[in-house]
Amino acid sequence: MNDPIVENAEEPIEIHLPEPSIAPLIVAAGMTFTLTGVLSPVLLFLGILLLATGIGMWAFGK
Amino acid sequence: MTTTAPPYPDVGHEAEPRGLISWLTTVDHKRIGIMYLVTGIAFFAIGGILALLIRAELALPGQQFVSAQAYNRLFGMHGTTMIFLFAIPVLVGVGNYIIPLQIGARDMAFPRLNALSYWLLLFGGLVLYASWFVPEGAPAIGWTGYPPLTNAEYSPYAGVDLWAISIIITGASSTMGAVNFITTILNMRAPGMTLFKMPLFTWSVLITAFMILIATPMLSGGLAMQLADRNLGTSFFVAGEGDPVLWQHLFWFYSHPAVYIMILPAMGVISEVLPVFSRKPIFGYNAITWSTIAIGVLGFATWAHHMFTTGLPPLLEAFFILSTMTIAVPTGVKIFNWIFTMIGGSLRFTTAMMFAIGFISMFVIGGISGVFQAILPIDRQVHDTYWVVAHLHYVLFGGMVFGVFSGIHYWFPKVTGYMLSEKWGKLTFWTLFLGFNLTFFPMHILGLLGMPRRYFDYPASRGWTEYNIASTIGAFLIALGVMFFLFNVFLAFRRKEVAGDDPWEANTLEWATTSPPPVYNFARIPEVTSDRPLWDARQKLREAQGHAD
Repeated sequence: MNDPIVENAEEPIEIHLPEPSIAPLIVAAGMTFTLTGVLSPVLLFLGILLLATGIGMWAFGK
Repeated sequence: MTTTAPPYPDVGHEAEPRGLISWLTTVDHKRIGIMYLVTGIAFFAIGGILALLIRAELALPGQQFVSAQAYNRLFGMHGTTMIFLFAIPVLVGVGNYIIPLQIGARDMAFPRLNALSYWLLLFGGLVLYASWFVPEGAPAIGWTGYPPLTNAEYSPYAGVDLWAISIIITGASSTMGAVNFITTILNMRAPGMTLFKMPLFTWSVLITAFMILIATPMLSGGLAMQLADRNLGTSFFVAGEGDPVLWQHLFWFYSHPAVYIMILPAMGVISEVLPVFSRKPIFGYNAITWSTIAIGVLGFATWAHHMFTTGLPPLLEAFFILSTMTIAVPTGVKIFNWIFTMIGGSLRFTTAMMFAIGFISMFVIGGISGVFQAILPIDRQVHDTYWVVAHLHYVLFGGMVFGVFSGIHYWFPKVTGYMLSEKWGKLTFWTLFLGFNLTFFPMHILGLLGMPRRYFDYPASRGWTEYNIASTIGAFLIALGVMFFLFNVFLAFRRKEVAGDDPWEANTLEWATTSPPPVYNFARIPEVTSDRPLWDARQKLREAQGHAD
């Protein structure tokens, strides 16, 4: 998200807001599948894959 | 609706991103708060439907339309859904939306962690409901999941594993949310907002967050041990090798504080709503704050009163009787302060206020029946009867749910920019109030008559039928009340009655910005000089206008 600049205050103020990110959703899906890996190795593998992808995206600010 | 313009900079709306992707990728605390609320209310509806099925089965003696095992699944899923997927998340949702606004911050301290907390909650809920689709279906173990019933020997199906995993996931969600709330509240308050100038709702969320942080790992650890017993051949909770009662300690070390985790934010809502609609300051701000802290501490010293019938040593029994009675003191302090807030006030009986008063009256009934149960001989008599079901619903439905409804009616104009209909709001309140009492009051009598909880049937000869019929009618009235509420929300978006920034002439900072607030909340972070900054600001405005006149 672009930092909005408020124009109608006495002087312009730059407001820094965090960028949207899909990483939290992918990390959450990864954690969920990893834990359900108790029931199936396929779910475990999928979970670790998603978790690694999500953490990577998070770390690199995607 | 008249609106007093607050003397803080009011800037126009930034263009909010739209579309599904914007919701999937959002890290804005307001959107995440809305997602929590919608998810929590959806699970409330699902848990409510399960409750209706339970009540329909129990209306008359004999099997009506579900088998005993299906009934076991229904009440287990009802309890788990209402506690872990509705009660805790919906208050996290309200907190998520309101706390940064109330303390004059632009977002939570860790926005991505905030989004992760929400998605974990949703996925935790989906995992729980996935258990309906595995062989042998959803877990039939109640919401307490006591071993040996949960051991692989007696429940050898994946539904129990999914139940445990789902609670571990929602626990992780709660823990991350708690870290975020604590960091946000301690570090991001507006200039001048010292701890004892914080709004009482913020105080209640802060204490709740500390409780979540301390209590949740106990439950998650216990559930991991259950999973290990079931899948790895360990014997933490296997009688003879381990100890099934150990689970009860771990479970109740979380689940009794969880009652306060659910009720404290609702108490915070009441502490915001009552002074606004009594048009006077809260009575005893410091007393309410310290009683919140006291409940947060004492809440960890009462868990074993759930286990009196397991055979605790007499010294421990005495300790837990005393600690349970002691916790009624700070709770009573709050109740007296709320009553004194109303006394002498210029009361406005809005829907939010009605729910707040409903909260106090119903919570007092639930609290008093709780003190009864703290007395060991009474506890032994009523343990595992419908008395306990009545007590917990008076605390959690009459208390927490009424608090949530009060908060939703109070903050709905801020979140959406539109007013709810007061007419439909009051209809919602009275329907829920009557339905609630009709459902749960007879359960006290059923409990005293000896009707055990968790049974799917009862003999006609016991004289319990009339009370059960009344209870079932009440449950359907509650469902009608919830439908009135949903219709009111639908109506608000259709009528589009503009709320203005501060329709209630409220006290706290969230009302100083537009409704709904812009993405950045405040163009300039306001400075605070008291615990009710908007009241002060209005007073200054009035004085200035008086001088000008």
